[in-house]
Amino acid sequence: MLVSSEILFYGLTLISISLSFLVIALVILFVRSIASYHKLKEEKDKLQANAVQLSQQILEEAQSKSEKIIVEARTKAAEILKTATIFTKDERENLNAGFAKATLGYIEEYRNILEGTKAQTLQILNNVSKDVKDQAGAGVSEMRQAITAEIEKAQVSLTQTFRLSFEKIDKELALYKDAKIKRINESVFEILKKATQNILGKSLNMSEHEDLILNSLEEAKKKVIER
Amino acid sequence: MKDFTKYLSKIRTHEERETLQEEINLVRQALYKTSTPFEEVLSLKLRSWVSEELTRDLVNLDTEQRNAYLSQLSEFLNSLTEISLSVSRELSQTGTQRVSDWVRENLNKESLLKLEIEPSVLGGVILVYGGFYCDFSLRKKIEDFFAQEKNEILKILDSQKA
Repeated sequence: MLVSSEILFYGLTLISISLSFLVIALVILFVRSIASYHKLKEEKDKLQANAVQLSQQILEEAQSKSEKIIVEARTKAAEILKTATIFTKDERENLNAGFAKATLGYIEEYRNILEGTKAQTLQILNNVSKDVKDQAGAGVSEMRQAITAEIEKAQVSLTQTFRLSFEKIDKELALYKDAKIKRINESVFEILKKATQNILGKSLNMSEHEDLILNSLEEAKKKVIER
Repeated sequence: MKDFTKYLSKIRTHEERETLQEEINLVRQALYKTSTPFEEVLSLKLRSWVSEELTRDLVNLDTEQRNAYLSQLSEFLNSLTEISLSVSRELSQTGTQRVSDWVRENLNKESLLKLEIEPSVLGGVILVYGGFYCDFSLRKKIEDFFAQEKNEILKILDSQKA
């Protein structure tokens, strides 16, 4: 029985050590996932900042371009106005209309550039979110798979350890049982012998007792003394 | 040496010899004492059969001859061979006589029984005689039987296991 307890103790110790390694592995995996998540988050922030900067740059470029167009238009208008005296009233009206048309065109172009920039920025931001989400999801999935695999391995190992321990305990129990039965049989045998001695010893009356002594003396004479 | 064998029919055991020796000593002491006369000791302090035998043998002898006779008788009693028998309990008078007769007939004519009571013997006898130790007790027979049949008995017990 003592041997069984030792096996159980060593088995449990082995299991505890296995579980400790498993927990340590999981903690390392978890810490790595957290680090990966932080790295991805930083990359997302960086990309977002870059996108904002890029959109700001595009806006500034568009603004600069439009301002340049407007300045050019104004310069051109001023030049036209200088020579306006030579134009007729109709020509001035035509010129004003043309100028208004040109202004509207430039405004429309400027609006289109702004709309494009906005759409482009939104697209970049969407793409960044999606990448971060995909990478984080992949990390979590990988971690889940690793945890599941480790748990399955631990389960298999534990099952096998328990099965081997139980088999060994069963064998030892059978041996112990046999030894115990043998000892009990020996005890029963001794009891039987004592009981027989007591019963036979007490069952003799005086005459039988004395006859048995004489018979024993005869036997002693034949088997020992006369030999 | 005179013939003292007639005493053997009355003396069968070690204890009976010791009692007779004490009586002989009493008579010998009385031979030279005036306070307790020899005749008084013979008639009053001895068992009847001892008194009868000694009176018959000593009546015609003088003091010195009586002393010599008693001394020889004592020597004769001491010369008897003791045969040791261990038995489980006391024997009846008849039983003691039967055993004594058997021993004197088969082993030694001039012998005494030294009976030792050992309840563990259970029955039968353990005889110690002439360098032989013969254990023919019931205890030994039972032990031999169980030793011989041990495997068979254990097999039967084992078959009851299921």
